[in-house]
Amino acid sequence: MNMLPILLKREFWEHRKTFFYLPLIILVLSAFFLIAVVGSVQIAGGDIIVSGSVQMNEEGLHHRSETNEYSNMPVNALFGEQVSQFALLAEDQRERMLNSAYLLIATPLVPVLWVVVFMYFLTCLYDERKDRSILFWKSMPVSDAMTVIAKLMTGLVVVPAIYFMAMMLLQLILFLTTVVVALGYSVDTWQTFVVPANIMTRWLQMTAFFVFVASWCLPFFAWLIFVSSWARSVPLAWVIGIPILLVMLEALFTQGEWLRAFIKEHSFPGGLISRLAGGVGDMFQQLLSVEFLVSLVLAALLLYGAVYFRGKADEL
Amino acid sequence: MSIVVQAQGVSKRYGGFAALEDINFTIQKGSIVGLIGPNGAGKTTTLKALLGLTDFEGQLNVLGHDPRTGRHHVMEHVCFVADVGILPRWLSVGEALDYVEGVHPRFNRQKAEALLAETNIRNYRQKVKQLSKGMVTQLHLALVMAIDVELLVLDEPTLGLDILYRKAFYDRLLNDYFDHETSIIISTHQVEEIESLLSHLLFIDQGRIVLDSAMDELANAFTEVWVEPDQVAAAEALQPIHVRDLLGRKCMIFEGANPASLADLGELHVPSVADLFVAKLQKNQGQQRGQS
Repeated sequence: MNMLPILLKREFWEHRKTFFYLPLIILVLSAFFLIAVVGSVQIAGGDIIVSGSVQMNEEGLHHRSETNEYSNMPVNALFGEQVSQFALLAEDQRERMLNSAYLLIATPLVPVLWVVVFMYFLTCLYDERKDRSILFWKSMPVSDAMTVIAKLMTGLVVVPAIYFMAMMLLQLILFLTTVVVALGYSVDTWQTFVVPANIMTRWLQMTAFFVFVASWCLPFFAWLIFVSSWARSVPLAWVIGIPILLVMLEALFTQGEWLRAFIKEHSFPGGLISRLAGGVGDMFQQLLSVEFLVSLVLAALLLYGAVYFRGKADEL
Repeated sequence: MSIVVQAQGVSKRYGGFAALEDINFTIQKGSIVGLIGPNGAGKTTTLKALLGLTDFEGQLNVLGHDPRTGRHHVMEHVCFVADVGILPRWLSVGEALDYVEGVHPRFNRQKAEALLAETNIRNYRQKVKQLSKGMVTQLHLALVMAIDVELLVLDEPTLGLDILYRKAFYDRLLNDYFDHETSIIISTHQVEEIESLLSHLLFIDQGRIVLDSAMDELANAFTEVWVEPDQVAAAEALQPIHVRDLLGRKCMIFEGANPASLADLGELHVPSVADLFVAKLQKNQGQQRGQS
């Protein structure tokens, strides 16, 4: 009987707030913000003087200068002019600007995803011991190995996939917004906004990047699960404390920095960016390196340890 | 009869404290075993060891598996209800049904829903943390009773529940659930409550088994005598394991004595399990003190 789907569901039920509602809220807020920025300029439209005078009464002189600056120019004309100017830019410039916009709209979800996955792995085998529910979970015919695999899959695949979908949705909203706006002006919508958005390539690259980060940071995630499986209190202290101690010992006795660099590069996706300057090709090159092989072996050992301690685990 | 559980020399230490010391017992198929002992005697530890929920030393065989290495195999045939709620607080009733249905090949969902229909639980969207203590136990029992298992392990299942519910619980256990193919082991420190449904007794005290007997052998092994006032000295000479006062008379319990030889001392009775429990415990604790 393949019980993986129900085990993944069970993880989702427990963490509905951070796995689903949190990205949903960020998605809605970001989309709202995007549409508000574009929409306010569009809707304010016809008579800037009216809205300007209202603002002036409420907030004083600050807005008067702004109002004066554009006082002769209806906003839709201003926006239209910007759209037209954008259409006149060179293609690579447009691509660069759009690229920034697409990255920017998805950016808030990335650190949130990292924190959510971090906290999930850190507590996935600790909380069940603390609240005694381990006695219920272990009274079901689910092996410890299966439990650990389900938890690894949750943090490595399920949660990133949900956040990834939220990012894609946001970029799709941005895409549709630019297209709808462009249709209102006399520009070539296809050449101006659709082609340089590279939406399909972008998503393929993002997927590749996610797969790469998930594999690259595997020892880090395995380390979190491992600590979570045996720590009797404050798993966070062990998760941070032991690597710091090891790095200090390394510096003290070997004067080396290999471990320090290894930990740094495999913990935070940020540390990877420099390695990936060449794009997708670089990723696969990294995945064939000896260092990556070492990290996989390390991850496997840590996961094996987590299964072992789950087997011994009792309520706290 | 086949053996469901066999424990040989099972010990468990927490630091310097011996929670279990050289525990030996067997559970036969179709028996209802009462594991009876005061708080802290090692009841929960014994049950957790045979479920593979805690580590131990010695040999334990549960349905052909060592629970330390084959817990998930054991759990296909064994169910467990703990003394206090162990269902996670965030789980909803419907999710609990979905989960057990998904992971347990012997779970019958219709049966669980029928059992739940007889409880106060109506809303499947309710979470465990919104249920009262009694309702959480009812939910857990409904889940467990809908699983076709060979051994049911109940650790103080009615602790903290009111008397009406406790009575109904044991009635249902005996009438609806127990079918002589299943074995049940129940731990409790309230003997009277389950005395009538047991087929076998295990007394545990300070990590040791102090009595291991079938219920129908108790009458042969133990005799209670309401001693006549003039026979007290003669009775005490026969070394009763327990003496108490009852309506101005001495009431003594003898172990392994021939009833015929006791008949002259006074009225003979079969001791109640509760009195026997007190007798064995006092004897054991006296021995423990004597040793130390």
